[in-house]
Formats: sequence, structure tokens, C-alpha cells
Amino acid sequence: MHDSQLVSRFLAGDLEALGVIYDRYSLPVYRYLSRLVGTTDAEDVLQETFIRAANRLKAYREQERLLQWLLTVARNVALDRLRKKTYLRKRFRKYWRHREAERKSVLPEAQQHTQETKEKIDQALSKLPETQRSVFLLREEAQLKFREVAEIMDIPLGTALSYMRRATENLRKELKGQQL
Amino acid sequence: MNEHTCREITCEQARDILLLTRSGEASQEQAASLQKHLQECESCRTAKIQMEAVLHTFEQTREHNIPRRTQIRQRMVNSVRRPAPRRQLIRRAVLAGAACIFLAVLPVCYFLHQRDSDVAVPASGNNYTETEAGTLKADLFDIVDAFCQDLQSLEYIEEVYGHESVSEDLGEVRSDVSSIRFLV
Repeated sequence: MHDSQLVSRFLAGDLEALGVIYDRYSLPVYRYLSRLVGTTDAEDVLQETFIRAANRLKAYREQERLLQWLLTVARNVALDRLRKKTYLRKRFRKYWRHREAERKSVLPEAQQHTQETKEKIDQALSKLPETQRSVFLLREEAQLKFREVAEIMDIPLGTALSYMRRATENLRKELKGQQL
Repeated sequence: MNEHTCREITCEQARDILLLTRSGEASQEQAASLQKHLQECESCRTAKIQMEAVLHTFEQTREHNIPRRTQIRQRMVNSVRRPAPRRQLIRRAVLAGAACIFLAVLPVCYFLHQRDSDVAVPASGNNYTETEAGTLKADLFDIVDAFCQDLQSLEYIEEVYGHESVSEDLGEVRSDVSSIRFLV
């Protein structure tokens, strides 16, 4: 069933249509979010994204790709969460350190290695300017076309490509020397 | 070969087309120009290899599933069905609390404002200068702001991380909140 038909069905009161939309797009949205806010918060932000999207589906235009629209909502929810997290990190510094240590210690050994590699990449990603990081993640995690990335970010296509080039180059420099 | 002036397209254009090729957005003409450019430009060949290495490392750590996908789906559908779940009720309670504080603060602000105006003609027994009255007002707003932020934090932490290890910190915040209440 086409996305626009699913949206129409949901707006007519069919909640299962929203479930189908979730089944179809939750993974790319989750991948994008897990890099942006971290895996711990990603599930929560994913849920919030779909709830916010459901409440605003009336504003969805058929010409737009639904995944692209959902990612715009996800980006806004994630940025809200990051602002809140920054405040909480400052306010509860001690607790945050304790929580991170606790989370690492419960992982099996094999997963710890993958987790470490992921953390190095995520750390490198976090050092990128927000615009470069967003372009990179929308393209590589959400697998959007550059044209769509440019629309979400409200920038020209050439700028999106330029951000992507710079992001890749900066990541390469950051990861250089680290044994991955 | 010169970094910036390869035959038909520049290195910068070639690297853009390289990205567009990966995303399936390059035209046949662009793809052909890129191939020709890559045959002739060593610098771009190296850049291509480096870019692919970075993206390959990135792909290795990609998430392949959502840990609690079904539960999230269920929670989402339930939340949409019931527009006033617990989370919203808490938020409403916090907003109502903030509104009450605001209403309680209004007369105090009015009082300070009046006293501020009185500073021009000092009344007997008024120990505040105009600057001090302004500072008091600013402090009062800071207190109210901190009070609201702490309440929101409490709500957030209780919902997302509410387990035993956080209780000590919650105790501290509650104590802060009590002090602020006392001050206001």
C-alpha cells in the first residue's frame, strides 16, 4: 500500500495504518536517531517521534516522501532531547558518569569490542559541526538521496554535497591512528 | 595531474559526482565523466579509496534492529489512542504548578515595581536603592526559572531513568525544590 494511502487511512481513524508506517520506517529513523542521541535514548526518541508525527500527519503533503518527512520530525525531537540532555549532564554530572560505567559493564565481551568501535565513531561524529553530522547521518544511516537531505536541511544540493565531503574527510582524520 | 583542473570536470566536481553515484543520483553522463576523470587523476582515486574506507568502517557499526521494536510500536499506538496518558498528566500538573507560581509571583513583582518607583522619592524606612530593587527582581525570576527546570528534570528522570541508583540525586533535587519553595 502506498504511503499516502496509509496516511489517509490513519487520518480516517485506522490506527493499524500507523503501525504499518512504523513497521516500514522505524529502522532507518532509529538508525539515524541512535547516532544522533545515542542508543540509550534512541528508543525513547523514536517513540516520541512517531507520536509527534501521528499528531501532525494532517500537515503531511503527498508530494513529499514520508520517510523524509518523518526524519524532519525525528531531527526536531532529537535536537530538543539533546538540549535537555546537555542541561541534565551539567546538573547531574556525578550520576551520568555512574550510569555510563554501569551500562558498559553489563555488555558481553564480544559486544564490548563492537561497542568500543561504535563509540569511537560516535565520538568522532560528535566532533563534527551539527550541519555536517546531520547531512552525513541522513545520507548514510537513513539512506536518503542528497536531494532529499538538502530539502530537510533547507540548503542547496551543492551545499549538502560539500558538507558530506567535509564530514567524510573530518571523520577520516579523526579515525586515523585509531585501531578499528 | 593538477588537483583542481582535470580534463572535463574539476576534482571538486568529480568528488561531488562520486557521492551522487553512491546515492544513485548521478546521470549517465556524470558517471562517464567521473570514470574518465578517475582514470587520469591519482588524487581523486586516493580520495575515493579513503572515502570508501571511512564509510565501510561506519557501516560495520550500523544498528540492524531496534531492541524493543514491538513494545515501542504498542506503546506508540496506545499513546495515540489515548490522548491523555500519564506523561501528559504529569506535564499538565507541572504546567499547572508553574502557572500557580507565576500567579503567586505577580503580586510580589508588582510590590517590587511599586517600591522601585518609590525610590525616586525615598520613603521613610525603605532601605533599598533602585539598583538593589532591580537585582531583587532579577533574582526572583532566576529562582522561579530554576524551580521550573528542576521540576521538569524530576519528571524526565523519573520517567526515563527512574530506578534505585538515582534516588540519592532525586533527594538532592527535592531538597533544592523545597528550599526554593520556601524562598518564594
